[in-house]
Amino acid sequence: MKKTIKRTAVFLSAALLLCIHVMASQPEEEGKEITLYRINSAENALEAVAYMPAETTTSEMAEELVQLFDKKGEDANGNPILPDEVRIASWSVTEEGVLELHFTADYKEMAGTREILVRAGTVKTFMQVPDVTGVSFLIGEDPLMTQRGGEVGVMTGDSFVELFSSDRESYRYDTFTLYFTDKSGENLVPETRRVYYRSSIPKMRVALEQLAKGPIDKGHYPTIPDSTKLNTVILSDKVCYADFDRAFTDQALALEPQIPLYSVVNTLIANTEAEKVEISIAGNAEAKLGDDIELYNYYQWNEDLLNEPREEE
Amino acid sequence: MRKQKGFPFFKSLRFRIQVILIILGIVPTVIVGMAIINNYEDKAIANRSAAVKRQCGILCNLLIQENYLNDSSSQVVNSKLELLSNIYNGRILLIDRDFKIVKDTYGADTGKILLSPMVSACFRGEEASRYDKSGEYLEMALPVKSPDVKTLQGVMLITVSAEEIRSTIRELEQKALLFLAGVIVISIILGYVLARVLVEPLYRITKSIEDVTDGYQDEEISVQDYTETAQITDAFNKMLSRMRVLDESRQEFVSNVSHELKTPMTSMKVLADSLVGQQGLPEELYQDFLQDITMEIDRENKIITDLLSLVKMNKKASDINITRVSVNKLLEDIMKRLRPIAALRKIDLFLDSFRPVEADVDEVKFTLAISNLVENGIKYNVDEGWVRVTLDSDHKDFFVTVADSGLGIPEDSIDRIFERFYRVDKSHSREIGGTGLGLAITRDAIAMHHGTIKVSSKEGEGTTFAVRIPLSYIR
Repeated sequence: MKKTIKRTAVFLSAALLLCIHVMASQPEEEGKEITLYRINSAENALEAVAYMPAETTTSEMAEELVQLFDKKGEDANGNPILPDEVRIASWSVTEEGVLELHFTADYKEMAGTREILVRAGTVKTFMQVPDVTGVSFLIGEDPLMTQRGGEVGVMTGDSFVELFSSDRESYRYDTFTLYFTDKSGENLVPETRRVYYRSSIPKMRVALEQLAKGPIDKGHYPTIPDSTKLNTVILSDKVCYADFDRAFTDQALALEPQIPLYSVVNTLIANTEAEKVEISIAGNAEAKLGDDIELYNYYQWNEDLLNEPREEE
Repeated sequence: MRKQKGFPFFKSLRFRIQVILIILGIVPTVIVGMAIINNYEDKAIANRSAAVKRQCGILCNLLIQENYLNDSSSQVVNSKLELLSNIYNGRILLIDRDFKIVKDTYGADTGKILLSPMVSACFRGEEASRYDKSGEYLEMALPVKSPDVKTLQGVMLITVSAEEIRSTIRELEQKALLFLAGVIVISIILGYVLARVLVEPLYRITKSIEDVTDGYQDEEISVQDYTETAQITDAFNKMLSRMRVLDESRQEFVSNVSHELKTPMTSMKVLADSLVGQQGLPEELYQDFLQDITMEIDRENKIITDLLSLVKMNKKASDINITRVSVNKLLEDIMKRLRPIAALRKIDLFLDSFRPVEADVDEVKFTLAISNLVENGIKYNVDEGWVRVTLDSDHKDFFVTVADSGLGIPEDSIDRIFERFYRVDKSHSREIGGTGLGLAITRDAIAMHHGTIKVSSKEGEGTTFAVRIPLSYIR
């Protein structure tokens, strides 16, 4: 017994010392690693390169990155975004935090496909400078124009969408509103959720898959069995047609059939442009839910089931 | 089938045939299966792409007509876009010349700038189409233009689900795998059976030969199933009969030897017994009988010597002692040695050397061979007859002939004179002397030199032996 106590004491003090050391060795302000964007050798996509900036404040880091962008030829590492003739003449930051980059006149000479990559790569790189809320391009003193004559305006990272031409899947974030039930099983309660999903999947499918996965918030209960599989879902003329497999009815949860029904309907209407929903089971549009509910109907948003709030348990 | 001890199974023909049949069953199935499936996939994708391109081409004309890229409110276009994306279970993006997404049928990225290598390629005028097998979709970038407006106004990026094609492929692959499994099972069974059936005649050959070896079967063996087995059994039978012939001649030789060795012994015994049995015989009688006994002993000695040299001749060629000699000299020595014996019956000996000949020979054996021929020439001759020896050569061989004016050899005996102990005229053999082994020794000696010997004879006129031996000895 005595030996065990002694051992534990030694171990704990060693651990404590280690923790202190680790904490002490953290510098006050450690610079964070950022991602530099460069052009790949085929000149048709961006390449991400990790980079540790020497500076940490807004103006100093901005200046550092501008210097980096200006390096051409042998000085640069990899393929610099800007072609040889184009330079950043000057820059400034507005009160609202918009970084304005003034380019030399040769910017206009760039081919359209190259110019887009330059825009995206430059904006995405500079958006990592602290306190920058957007980036706008100017050529000399004139704002950058689109081909059709409008101003390009302020850009952020979200202004751009990348689709990869390889087997890498592109993913995206979206917020979904899902309708689960509460403990009584007689009402629908909304739950919002941010989901990271493959961008090749339409939102309506993702919404229903999340519904099947079940609720995350406390006090929420699932409305459809988690083994439910969605065969197809189609949106046409503001009507959403959802076809589930047999598990939807065969393994239905012990709820009044209108709860799963309107859980699906409301979820779909909330997350798409649909105004009506038609549900079918394994291709059969004339199936029945429970004894009374015929599926061969256009179901619309059900407000009533939402408006009977019960006290929180 | 029984497995021989010490013979590994994996070296057997049966095993190899089995393996070959299994491989022959599996490999083509796999190759053909894969080829067909890949071909189907390529075809299906190509058809799908073509259909999509067609439809989208038509839609692009409508887009131009409705000026959709500048104003995306047209109901006609929107419902068509929706319909197309539903039918193809995919996503359509319309992109203008600023790379801005004018319309996204998923409603997700409208208004953003699109960075896509495929779109860039399309703007540059290149074909852009991609089939992603693992994600199960087909992606195409099509130019938005029309016969009226031939310059590129934008790009339509359409992603089409290839899921049906992929699931058909998966089904096909499953079926192919099942089929392959069936083929493997059948190949293994068939392989085993066929191998067994095909190789069975070989086992029968082995058994027949073993029966012959064990003595159960004295007849010829016959396994006629295949040409090859018939050939093997034929060759075996030939060898068998040759062995029998050899066996018989050996038995004959043994009995001949016993007989020849016994005969002098018998004579000696008779002579000795007659001396022992009587008392007080005159000295001359003793002298007489003892002389006869001596003669018989000499005879027996000669037979034994000849037999020994014959035996030595029959051993492997390792005992041959080749040297380069002047054949002329050898022949002269033989003639010199035999002249006295010839002189006894007033027989003339002649040696004609047409040219000097040097050759690789074993002196002892060669001398023995030629001596025998000359001695025969003297022995089977008439009084005051002649024996003529000639020597000639060309660039390859040298030739020795021994001709006599003697009794000659009857036609029916001439094939047999080289046999051991063969005598043409058995009745006079004692008077003529010799052992009956001389020509056998000669023939074997000449054979050891890789030479040949021929005989021609006419009864009452004489006999000629012609010997040919290569000048250089090659082992």
